Amino acid sequence: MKHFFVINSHSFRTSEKLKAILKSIEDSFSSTVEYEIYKTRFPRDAIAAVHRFISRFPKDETIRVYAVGGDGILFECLNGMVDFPNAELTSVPYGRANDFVRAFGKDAAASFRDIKKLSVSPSRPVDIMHCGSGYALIEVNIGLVGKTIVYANEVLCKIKSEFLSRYVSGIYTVSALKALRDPNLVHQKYSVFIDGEPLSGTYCNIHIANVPCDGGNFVPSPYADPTDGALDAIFMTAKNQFEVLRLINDRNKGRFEKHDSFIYRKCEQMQVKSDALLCVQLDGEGFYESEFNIEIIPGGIKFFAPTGLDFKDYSYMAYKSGKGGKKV
Amino acid sequence: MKIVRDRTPETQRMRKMWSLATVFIFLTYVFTVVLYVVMGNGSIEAVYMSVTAGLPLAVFAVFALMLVPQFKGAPLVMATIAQLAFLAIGIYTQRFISYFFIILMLYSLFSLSKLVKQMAAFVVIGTIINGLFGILASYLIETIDMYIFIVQFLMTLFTSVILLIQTYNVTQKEGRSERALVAFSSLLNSTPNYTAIVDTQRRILYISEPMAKFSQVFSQSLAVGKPLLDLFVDKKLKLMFADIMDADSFTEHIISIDIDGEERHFKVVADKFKGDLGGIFIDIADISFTVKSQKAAEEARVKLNDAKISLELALADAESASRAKGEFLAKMSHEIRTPMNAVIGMTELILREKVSSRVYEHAVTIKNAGNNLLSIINDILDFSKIESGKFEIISSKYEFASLVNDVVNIIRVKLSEKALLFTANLNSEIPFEMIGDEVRIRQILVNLLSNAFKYTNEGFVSLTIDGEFTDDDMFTLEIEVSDSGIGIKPENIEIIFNDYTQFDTEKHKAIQGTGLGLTITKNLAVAMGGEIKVTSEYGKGSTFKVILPQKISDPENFKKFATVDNPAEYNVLLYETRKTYIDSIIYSVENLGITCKSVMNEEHLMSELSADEYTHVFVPFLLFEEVEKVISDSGKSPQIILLAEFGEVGAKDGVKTISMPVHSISVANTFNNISDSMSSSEKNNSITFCAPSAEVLIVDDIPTNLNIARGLMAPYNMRIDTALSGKAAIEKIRYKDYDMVFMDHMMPEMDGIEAVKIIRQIDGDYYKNLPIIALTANAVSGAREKFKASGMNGFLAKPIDIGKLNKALDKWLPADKKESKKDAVPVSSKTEGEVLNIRIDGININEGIKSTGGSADGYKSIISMFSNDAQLKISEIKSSLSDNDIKRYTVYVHALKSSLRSIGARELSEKAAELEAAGHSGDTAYIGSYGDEFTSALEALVLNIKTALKNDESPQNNEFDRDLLLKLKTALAAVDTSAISEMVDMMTAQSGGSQIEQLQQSILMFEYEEATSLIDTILQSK
Repeated sequence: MKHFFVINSHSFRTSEKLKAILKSIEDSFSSTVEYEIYKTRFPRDAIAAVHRFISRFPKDETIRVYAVGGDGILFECLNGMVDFPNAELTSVPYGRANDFVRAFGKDAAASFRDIKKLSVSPSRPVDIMHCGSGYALIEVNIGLVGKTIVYANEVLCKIKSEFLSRYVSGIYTVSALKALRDPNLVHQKYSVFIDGEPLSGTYCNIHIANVPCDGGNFVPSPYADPTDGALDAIFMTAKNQFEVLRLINDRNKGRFEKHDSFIYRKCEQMQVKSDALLCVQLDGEGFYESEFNIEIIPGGIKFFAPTGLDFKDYSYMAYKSGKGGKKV
Repeated sequence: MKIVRDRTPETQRMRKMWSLATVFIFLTYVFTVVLYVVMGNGSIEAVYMSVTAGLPLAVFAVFALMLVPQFKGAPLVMATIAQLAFLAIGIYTQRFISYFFIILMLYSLFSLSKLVKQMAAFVVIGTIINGLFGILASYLIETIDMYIFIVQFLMTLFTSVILLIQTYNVTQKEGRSERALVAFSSLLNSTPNYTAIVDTQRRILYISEPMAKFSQVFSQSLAVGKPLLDLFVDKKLKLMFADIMDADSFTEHIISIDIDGEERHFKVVADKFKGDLGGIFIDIADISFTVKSQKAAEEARVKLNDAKISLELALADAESASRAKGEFLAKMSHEIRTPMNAVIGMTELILREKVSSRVYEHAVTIKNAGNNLLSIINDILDFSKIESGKFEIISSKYEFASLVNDVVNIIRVKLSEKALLFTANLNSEIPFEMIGDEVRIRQILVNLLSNAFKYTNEGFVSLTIDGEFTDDDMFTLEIEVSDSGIGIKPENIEIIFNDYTQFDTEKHKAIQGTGLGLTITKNLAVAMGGEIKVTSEYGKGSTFKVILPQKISDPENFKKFATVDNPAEYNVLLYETRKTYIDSIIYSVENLGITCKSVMNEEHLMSELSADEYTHVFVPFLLFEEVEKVISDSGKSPQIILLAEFGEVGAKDGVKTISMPVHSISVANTFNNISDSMSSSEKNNSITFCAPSAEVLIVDDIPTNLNIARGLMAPYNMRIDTALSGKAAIEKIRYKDYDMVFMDHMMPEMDGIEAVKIIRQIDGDYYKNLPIIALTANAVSGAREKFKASGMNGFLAKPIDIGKLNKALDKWLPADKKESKKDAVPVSSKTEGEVLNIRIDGININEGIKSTGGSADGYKSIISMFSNDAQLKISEIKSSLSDNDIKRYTVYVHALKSSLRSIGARELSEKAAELEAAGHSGDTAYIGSYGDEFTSALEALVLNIKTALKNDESPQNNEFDRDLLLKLKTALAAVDTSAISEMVDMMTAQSGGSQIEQLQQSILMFEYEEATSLIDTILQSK
């Protein structure tokens, strides 16, 4: 078995933190265990790095890939290793959100940072989403949320100051407000096919999830399960920007069933088109597309998590308010 | 296109200046506020103004500077806002204007920098106006301290001017940059290449329009900021570009991608920007066409290579096939000539036997057919050689006179078939000896002349050979063959030299031929560096002209081919009635420098003889007696030279004869006292000597060929041994000294060449010097050289030509073993009227012997020959009578007239003369009355001759091989049937009389005991 650590340099703004991680890795393995550490230099660097590393070894050799950082590096490692059935993936969460790790529970991050335990933990098959040019683990947002992420990323990638990085949520808020200014986003018409069935309409946001969590502390898809072989799709409609503001909180907390403005579906594949550009957010990455297709690949990768940890059932979030709501 | 974060040093300096200016203005603002508070004694109003109007805006400007870093005009905005603050403080009554400016500035925060620049300019102008107004106002409102305001105003003005200048510079620079960027962008968009510029984080700064289309991005601007790898769906491409962007310097890759089922090839070039710019420039060019072209070129190269290999193989095959064809030709030549040799040779032997006239006729037919067939086969083999490229011109020295003589003699024979006049005009200036392919030149001449005879029914065939010196050692022969034949149509002249071409085949069905003759002739001429042309008038005749350049053998010692010593001493009078002959003979004589005059009747003859001194009178053979009388009456004594046509045989005592056609050679020979007494064919076939003591060995694996060769050599009376193989020949040569050996070339087990090599290696001068002549049916190119290289002294082609055989025997037999025919003491020589036990009705034998040279044996030979010829003539005479062709009839009876006289059949000769005269005068009635009688008498005479000859059993005819009989006896005792059969075949080559015939009969009936006792009887009798 080989171990390959991919560290997102941006996640560690200070050299002390990076050194600590490296030391942690070093201490986790004996001299007989082969491991390698790679620090990414730029976005998507990890994809090629992981691919090259795994390609060096025979197909019967198990390779464990550790995405050290946030969901972004996890996303890149996934895309680098997806062609190799002998590869296994995990996250060592040092990012802003770490939504996939949060799927194991709010406090799961600490366990995942125990590299020594992590390195010997079992793996399990986990669903992945195949969309467009690559694969994703966590979620996709099309519409308002997508635009928000686009705007926020434009600012966030410029921030190198540790001090300012604390105010990331403010940036997202401002970005959201900025996105909200566009009424076209609120009333964008989408042509949607879910498992071949049409579900076209005017939506302000389409959320497609593999795991319940997103945004660092939101749980918009409480019923999402990365092992169920299905996608959770939530379509949000609003009459205007003010209604969006009104609904956004419940949306973020998974209480979509309270409102008729949400449509919820489980599916295996989806096609989304629109006359206007699609503002897409994919595992924290924001971009524009003219068309978006997505499908679930059940058990697409092997994910190893600390022993004893399992995906948490967040379905209770849908009922937290106690005001009802029901599964469709 | 925007370039974010312009980090050029110049921009950095400007930013610093802006920042300083901003700080300066801000500090000034703070100072002013403090000043106003202090001076205003803490006036609430002043504080209020400064706080409400200026500070929030200043803070907001700072916040905007930090929040919107892309907004380059932020320092400018801040400075402008600061100015507004001053305005607000200084001129509070114009607060609303300040607010207006504030609103404008707020809006400008979110606007393009261009607008900000415009706003800045506007504000500066506004500042000036407001400042002036403020100064004016200070005069009106006492509470305001004008000096402070002036200071503020001047500072603001100063700052504004600086900012204005900087703004102007930046605007200019930005404009230039923007124009450059637009131009660059247009350039990148207009090229077919896919271009991308990424920053140090590999995020897209720019992609060209083709790149946007290639990566299916909705628009170029939407790709900005994305990781480059996100542009590509294909994993392979992602990884490839990851490698490309990993490179530290210039990198080049060739990638292949399957797009819509088509494999396309791209060349990716990437390089880092120099200096502080950072980022990577990536250019992707579609080289599918180039790759396809290269692939196509490579495929073409491979195909070419394959084709080259195929060609080489094909060439090898072709060479192999050519070799096989050459070997086949050689083999076929041998295979065809060998039986032809048997057919023609055996027929020749039959013709020499005493056979019935009917058998004789059949044999002549076979011989003629055989010769024709051989000629056709030779043509076909030659043509095959030409087609297969095996044809070679072999140049060697040859005597021109000999060549022409041979040709004339060959063609002359055809005169017996048709009543045509044949003339030969040869320029004596032609070199005596030249270098060329004598065989092929002969072939050309024979072809053309044969054709001329073939296609001419009446009139003439003329051979003219002339030429000129084209260099010191080169002579170009000009050979012309003309005829008065059927001619060639104009449309056929172009194609007459094509293969297999014959014209009017229906009309000229009787004319035999393959149509290859002229083709071969042309190929021969061209191969020798010459050419052939034809002119013709249909129905009138044709002329073929051949030009052949020949090298002179010895230019230093040049010799003409025909000369007469002291020609001026001679004066010739020609008595000839036929114009064609007159012209030719006069040409031939005068060409030698001898004067010549012609007369056409006896009166003129007489008058000329009286008028001038002539040394020679040329007279047609049949007019000899008349002319002799005239000459005698004239009292003059010129030498009479008889001009003898073909068939006009029989020498007159002391009178020279020139065979027709008269040409320079024959005339020169006559004047130089070289005999030309006999007819050419007779001369060619004449046996000029015998060699009774000569020992000759003939080697051939085919008994028939041995018989033929033995038969052909029989007239030489040589002692002839035979051997059936090379091995047997070597054995015989070891134990017996031979004077000459004729060795067949192709034999099983050991061929002639191998046998000769072994013989030459035996110790002793005898073996090294023994003349060995190759007998070969394989007359292909290179044969002569091969035989010579093996040690042979020469070769004879089969079928054996008797003239060449004679030449070879004459050359190689020791001189002391040769005896001339006249001097020879034949085994059974007969003197006049003594032992010649033949009586022929209608013939005075003694007269005949006298007329034919005095030798009984010679006479017998001649009458035998006569009888054969006469037999042919009988059928021709009958045919001419039935065709009512008096002209032809006259020619035949004319020829018979002289030959009848020669053999002593005077009475019949006179009848022939009468019929000839009737023919000349056109007296068809006389011919009709007496023609049949003459024909019948001639038939009877021929029969008498044959019968007489058959009944004559000369002892020499019963000579046979004692050794052969002994061997036969042994073979009979051992019942060795194959040996018995061979020896019987060999015996048939000899004429052995009735005893041998009886022996043969016994063997045929398998009565071997009877045959054995017969052998004993025969041996005892010898």
